[in-house]
Amino acid sequence: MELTVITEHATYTHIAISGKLDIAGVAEIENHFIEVTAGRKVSAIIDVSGVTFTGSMGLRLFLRASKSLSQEKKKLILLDPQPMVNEVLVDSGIKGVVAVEKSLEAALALAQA
Amino acid sequence: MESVLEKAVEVPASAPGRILLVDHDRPVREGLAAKLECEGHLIEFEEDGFKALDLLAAGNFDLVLWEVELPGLSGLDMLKRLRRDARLKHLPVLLISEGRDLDMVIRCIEAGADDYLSKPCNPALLKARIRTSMERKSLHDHERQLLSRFRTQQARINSELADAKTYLMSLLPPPLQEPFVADWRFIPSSELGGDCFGYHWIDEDHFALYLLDVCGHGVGSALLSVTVLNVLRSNALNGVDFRQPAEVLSAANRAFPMERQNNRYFTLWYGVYQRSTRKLTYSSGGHPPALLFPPGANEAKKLSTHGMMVGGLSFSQYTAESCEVPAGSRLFLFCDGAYEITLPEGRTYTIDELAGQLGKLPSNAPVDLDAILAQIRLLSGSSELEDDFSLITIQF
Repeated sequence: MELTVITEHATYTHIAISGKLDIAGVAEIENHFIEVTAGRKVSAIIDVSGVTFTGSMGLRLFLRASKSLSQEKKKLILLDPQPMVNEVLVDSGIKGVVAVEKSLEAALALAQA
Repeated sequence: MESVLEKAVEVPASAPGRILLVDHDRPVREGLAAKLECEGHLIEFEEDGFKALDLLAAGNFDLVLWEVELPGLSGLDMLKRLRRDARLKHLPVLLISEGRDLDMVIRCIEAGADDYLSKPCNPALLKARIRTSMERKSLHDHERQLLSRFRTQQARINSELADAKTYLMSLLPPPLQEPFVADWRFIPSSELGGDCFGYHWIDEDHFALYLLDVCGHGVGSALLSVTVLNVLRSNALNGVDFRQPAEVLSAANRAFPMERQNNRYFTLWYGVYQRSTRKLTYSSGGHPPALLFPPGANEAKKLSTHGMMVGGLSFSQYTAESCEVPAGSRLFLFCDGAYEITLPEGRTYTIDELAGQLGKLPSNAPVDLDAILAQIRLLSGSSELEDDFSLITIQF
């Protein structure tokens, strides 16, 4: 897994992750991911277009960050998931607490709303 | 449990050791021995190479000093024998040489000698090289002890995992033949995953069927999985009508918040088949859909209510849906490990591909679960699957 910080804006964080979000992949990025999302206490846009797979630990990662941000009234926004990842997000029910957007403009609008 | 790593920091310091001195020249032997005994080493002598090898094999020596040009068994021949012997191949060997055949000394070093000294040996140099070699041996011995301890602990962990798997398997229901056929295959992953499932009659008319998957792998996940399974199979959630799937998921969500389960949530598919009406009511939380194939159909109806993973959020709402189950229908319930496998080309197999495979099964014969499992193994290119494999089928 790779995690790239794109923007650390005063009102939002924009990062990109790529690779397989399986147990091993999550272990590689978990601490850094939490630090730059939940740790900044501002809404986070996660570009997941490069994520080819997410398993239960990947969902847990999103849920953990989202729950932490929601305590600050902030959002976790997943940007442009691949169809297979999107299907997992739908089946998991996580879309109820994690926003999913197709475009960066829409994600930015939601992050700064 | 005793930690291997905690022990790893206790590296023993080098101490005087037991040294075998092999040299055919008596005055040399005695001179060297005197110097070494002053350092506290225990010295034994031998002038015959073959007897020296026997002594080394029988005794617990820390180092051997060997004359390169020993008659009968040269330093090179000795090294070849020593390094082939599993018990002695790590024994430090210092060669002592008259220095007349430097090529031989080089070949001995290449063959595994630790170092060499020219006769007459400089006492300071001798002392330093013995100390270095013995420190190396001490570290090596310590590594071997750690490895041995690690293997013992690993064997114990594997044994305990095997016990846990046996216990888990003992909780799973037997296959059914009446009033419909119910069967399953369950292959836990090598580390033990978080899958569990079951089915039972709640009353004469209502048959419950459920499969849950705790996130992550290992004993921690399996413990939560077994706890939830026991709750479901014994209808043990206060005030819950277990004939109502949405009620069951809501109650489980309240009973097992992830913050109190070591940050673990689980996915759950829970359905109730009512025999008198042929109606299946189901609710799912974070779980892959079950697949229902009406008789003769090769396309599946996906049964999912897209609820939140159970234990993920305290305020999650769960709904239920229902469908008719005509006679001859087939229902497949499974975990993500049944289809989230990495294919040799690198991509991940999909639930739709699994549905396509299941849709091709002959409708006039019993479902061959072993054939499905074999196909999944074939696709993954390994008999060892990455995740738990759980698959239940009901043939109505």
